[in-house]
Amino acid sequence: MNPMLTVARKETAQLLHSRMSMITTAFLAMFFAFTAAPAVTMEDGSAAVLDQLLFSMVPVIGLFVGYIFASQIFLREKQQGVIETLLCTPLTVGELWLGKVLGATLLAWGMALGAAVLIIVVSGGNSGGLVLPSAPVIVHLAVVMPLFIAAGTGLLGLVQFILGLRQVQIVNVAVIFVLIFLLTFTRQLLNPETGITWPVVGGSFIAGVIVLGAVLVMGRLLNTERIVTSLP
Amino acid sequence: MNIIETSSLGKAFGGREVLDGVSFAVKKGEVFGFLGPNGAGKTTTLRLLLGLLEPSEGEALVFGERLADREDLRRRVGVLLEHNGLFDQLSARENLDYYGRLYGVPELQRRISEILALTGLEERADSAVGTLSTGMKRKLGLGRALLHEPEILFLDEPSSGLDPEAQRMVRELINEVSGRESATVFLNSHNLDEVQRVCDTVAILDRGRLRAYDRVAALQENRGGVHFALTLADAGDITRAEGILASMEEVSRYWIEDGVITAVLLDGAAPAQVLARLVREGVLVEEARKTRRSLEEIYLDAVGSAEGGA
Repeated sequence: MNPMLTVARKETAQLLHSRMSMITTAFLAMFFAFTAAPAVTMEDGSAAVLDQLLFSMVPVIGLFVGYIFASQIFLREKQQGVIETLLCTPLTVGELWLGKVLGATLLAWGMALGAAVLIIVVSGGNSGGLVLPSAPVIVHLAVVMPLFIAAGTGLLGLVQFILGLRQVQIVNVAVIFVLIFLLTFTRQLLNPETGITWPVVGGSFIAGVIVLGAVLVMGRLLNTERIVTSLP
Repeated sequence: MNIIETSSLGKAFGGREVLDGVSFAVKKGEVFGFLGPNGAGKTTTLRLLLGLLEPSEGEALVFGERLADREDLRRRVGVLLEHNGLFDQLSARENLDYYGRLYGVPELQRRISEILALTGLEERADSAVGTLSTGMKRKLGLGRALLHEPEILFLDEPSSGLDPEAQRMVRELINEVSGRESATVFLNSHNLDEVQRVCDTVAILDRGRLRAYDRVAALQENRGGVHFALTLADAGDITRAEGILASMEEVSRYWIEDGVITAVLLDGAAPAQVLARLVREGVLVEEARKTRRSLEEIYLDAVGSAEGGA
């Protein structure tokens, strides 16, 4: 198996074993789902409201879940000193970082999709009939959302790898809010009054690719000595 | 053939020099003990050899290369650092499985079973590592380092936190690895007894500089003159014997431990001179034998001389 996939597989398994992370993230997803779902009613335009909700709310849930996972798999391993042993294995630092990003992203994406299903089901229960999202929104959740989650987790991981604890605490919050702002800004830029159309999703996709690409380029900042000597 | 080598190795952090001009070499199959007090620079040296840090000066080479640049060479090295490198949420078996995959260990499940048997952790194989005792974690960490049958094993305080029985197991493992598998062992340790028992060569580091470096036997023989131990027939004579030894120019120093007097003679002085004087003064000597310097003595000399010179 590719070393990066080996790392991703281990991270997913470890996160699934971490009861606290799973309970926290599941609670987060349910909280957002239950508070947002009542906005959808059976009145005219309910499908559009659901689309807007899924388009904007679910990626934010994914980003927050990725934020929680990142501190588990980057910061905690660094604090515990496990990272030094991993850096002595045949893995490159880039493979280690990307593997962790992939593992956390897959799980955070899964949790966000779970929250999306919950929103659809609860709003269906509230309004007396199941309202389904449009095709562009489904594609958005399936393709665009993981790009933003990966970019967020990757950036958080990078920050947690190369900075000390105090800087990490400050920069982490900034990272997550900048990404949420970017998501909202992209949505506003693409004129949401017309609904979530293919151009809106396409524009979001391009924004996601650009952000993720930028994060991957920033991955070159990774430096073994920096990771080892910036231990909190 | 030197398998590990440093030459004029130096490292500074933010202008603070923690390692200065450290040069040593470790031959293939050797068990090398790296000693020094806290803050001496041992861990920094280890990190430089493992490619975790970049030297400020000189070189740190393993297999003649910098490990930082060579993933393929890292596959031939096993590492047990201060932390065990284990994941608390995963079981012992899952931890070994993960590392086995990273190192590309063939017949991994068979090898995992071997390691679990070797470390005596078969019954806890499926327990989460977080539920294991400190000693069990250390043993598992050591097993993890041996999983891929490395040619060089870097160990940082492998016995720390272990009970005497587990410490013996660690020593046996080191002997087994260096003997049967001809692996080279780099042992970073505070445990002088452990180092004395398993190491062929020792380097003593203090305040970033190498203070002593040679084969253990050579260090014991060559420095500080002849050592010999005296057991007196009458324990009541110890005070008198002390007075005689203190007055003799041939005796550079002496100490008493468990009723045995150990005297260190100046170069050129013979034990017979001392014995004759004691007997002449009426001290009955039951046994007198030449001894070798203990590693503890060598260590304290090396570190003490550094303090004196500072």
